[in-house]
Amino acid sequence: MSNLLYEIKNLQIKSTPKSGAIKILNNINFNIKRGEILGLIGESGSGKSMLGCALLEMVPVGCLITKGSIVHHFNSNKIISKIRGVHIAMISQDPMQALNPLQKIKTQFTMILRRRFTSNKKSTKEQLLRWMKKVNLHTIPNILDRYPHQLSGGQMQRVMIAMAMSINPDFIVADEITTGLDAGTKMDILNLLASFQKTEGFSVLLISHDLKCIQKYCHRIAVLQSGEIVRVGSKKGIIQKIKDSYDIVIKKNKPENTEKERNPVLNVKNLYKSYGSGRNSIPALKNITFTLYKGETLGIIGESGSGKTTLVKTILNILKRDSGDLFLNEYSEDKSIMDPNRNIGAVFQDSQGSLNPKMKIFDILSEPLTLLGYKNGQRKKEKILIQLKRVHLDNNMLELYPDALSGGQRQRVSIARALLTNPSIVVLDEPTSALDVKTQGKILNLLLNIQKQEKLSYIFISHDLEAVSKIADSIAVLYKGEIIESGSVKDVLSYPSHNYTKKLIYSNSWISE
Amino acid sequence: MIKVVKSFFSKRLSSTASLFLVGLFCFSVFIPFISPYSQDIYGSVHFEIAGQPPSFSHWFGTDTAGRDMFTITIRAAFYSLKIAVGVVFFSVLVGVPIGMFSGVSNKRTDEVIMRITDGFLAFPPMILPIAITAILGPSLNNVIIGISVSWFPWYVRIARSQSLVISSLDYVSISKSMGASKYHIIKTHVLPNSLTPIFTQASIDAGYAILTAAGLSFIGLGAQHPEVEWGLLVTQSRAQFLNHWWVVFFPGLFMCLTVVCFNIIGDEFRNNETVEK
Repeated sequence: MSNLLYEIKNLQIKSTPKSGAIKILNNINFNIKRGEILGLIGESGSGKSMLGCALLEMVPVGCLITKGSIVHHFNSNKIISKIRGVHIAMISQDPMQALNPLQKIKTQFTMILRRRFTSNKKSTKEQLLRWMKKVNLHTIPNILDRYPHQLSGGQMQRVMIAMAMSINPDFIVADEITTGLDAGTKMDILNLLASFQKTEGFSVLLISHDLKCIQKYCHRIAVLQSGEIVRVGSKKGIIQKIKDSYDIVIKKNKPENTEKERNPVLNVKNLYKSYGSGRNSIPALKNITFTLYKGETLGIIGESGSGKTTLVKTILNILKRDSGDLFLNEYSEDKSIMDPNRNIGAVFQDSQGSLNPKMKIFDILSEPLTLLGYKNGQRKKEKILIQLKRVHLDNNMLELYPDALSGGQRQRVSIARALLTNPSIVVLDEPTSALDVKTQGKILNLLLNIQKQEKLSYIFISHDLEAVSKIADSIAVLYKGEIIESGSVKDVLSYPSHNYTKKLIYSNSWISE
Repeated sequence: MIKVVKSFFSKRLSSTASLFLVGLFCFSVFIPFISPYSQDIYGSVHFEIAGQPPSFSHWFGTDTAGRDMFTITIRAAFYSLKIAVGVVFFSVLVGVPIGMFSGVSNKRTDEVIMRITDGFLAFPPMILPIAITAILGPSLNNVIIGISVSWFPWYVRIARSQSLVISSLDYVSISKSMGASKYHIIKTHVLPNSLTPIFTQASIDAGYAILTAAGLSFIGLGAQHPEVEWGLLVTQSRAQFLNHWWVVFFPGLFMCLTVVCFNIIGDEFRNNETVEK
């Protein structure tokens, strides 16, 4: 039996002439061996997912394989589309999209097992329970009778892993399976996949833009750049070379403020917010108190569900708080603000969702100026061009729609929009977590430069400790809607006092080891 | 929206359907000036040529009053299309702003608007138009009013659901954080992103409006003589159907083709929306 599972030779994929005949993948040559985890790394839009789809013979409508071949060496003579779900499985990025929202986990799982193994009802149920135990979901009450929306992102991804493993595959395509998950869950999911791979011996194509994940789990690495494989080989040889091109030095070259010089710009006092009413009321924020100083960044860290987004919306006053005060010092020192205030700008995580798809970039950037009362088109354009230059975007982008821009460019547009109202504070809600490492670095540098020029204050919310530590001056740890620990970056990260903070630091640092 | 329209006309089926409707409308406007039997539109009778089957001189034959069926069937398209456009126009004009306002308003306002809407929707589809046209008196304009009153709540529902989805998106949150008013949010974000589903529903409804108006004419509540409308033509000739098939067949055929064309356009809008998503 050959040691190779896949041989990909000279593969080229183009979009159909109707869609412009653009080369999406070109001159792809590599092999996948039996029992290995091959990491496929590349920036957003480099064609990683397309390559994964091609291996499954699932090239999307509008694209065609125009050259080359994909030869498989599974123990079957059938074509790939016939052995999907038998020898090949896939775990996709967004489990919410991959699972049927109208069917219980049990129904969906049973369907897969029945198709693969012609087993009776009793043995199928036994198999289901065994798999739930293997992926540590057996402790959750009635897990099999739940619908996908009743599970968290991490739990859904575990179900997906269990489904993929249950067919006893020879090969799994894992496409960005941890994107959007917080560090702790990420660690659990990847450890689970790696441990199964070790015991079962199947091959995995681990697609990711996260260099650290690839470094930790893969035996070999392939680097994809603009649709071409630029490097493929053993981990050791390649990792340093990529690191050099990936790592961007974050320059936080600002002097430390001494206590005397610090001017508070925002005082948040005893903020409470709950959802629901009466008995069903669930507290989302409890007694949040902090002060933000001029020209400084406060990093707020916490895992998914800790109340980060509720805090953002409450600070922006687009969500009414139950009680507590927000004192914006430049506005009024003793009057708590209750309505949205243009002194506070915002940049959200989802760069695509933050920009109206039906508006051109010029119109998107005009919106804050229109709301400020600008009527003169020429003056608007002048202001927009200044901001565009500041975020390093080209003037000709003004006529484009958001879908023509990359993730990083869209996030720059969001930053420019936030700056157009001349705010003193910008709330940054996970602005880099959906971006690849290289773009993350560029955006963080951009934010630091703007802060230095404008003496802006940032509230930087993230579950990525590394990003927070690079940009923040002080940190607050949010856990179940409460700030359980706060202080300077050094104090909190080096000498954490709360167990939750220690766990957060561990799950973030584990991946860098 | 421009993308949707461009892709729409690039498809052969949908462009043929649109061409048919536009052509039919233009023809129906000019038929009184080009047909040698234009007087038939205004009720003139020629009993000497009554009940003639389709021939060279009368392409669709003549009815029992000797009127040229081709001329009056084509002219009837003008009134039927007027009903289709009128009903959709008024339903959208009233329903969409109410629905969008409801979607961006607080829970109590939303609840009040929705319960009133539900009240309208509780009536069986034909009852309300029958009641309204019976009260206002049978005429073409009253048919438009009757059907619009019965149908606008559907647009309230569509616009509200679109508004709820779009209001929860990040770009609306950012707009709110910059102090945008409800009017600004509706105008800038909700409306442009809701147009495709509204157009889809409107083009499908236009076809059904013709059928509903034909139904009202059939029971004597629709267009009145000398106005010609497809439903009315079918009603007037139904007794002679067995002997003179052409008097019912041609108005029925045109009604069917028009409804199918509106449905093709609606489907194409829906397909484009899915592709866009």
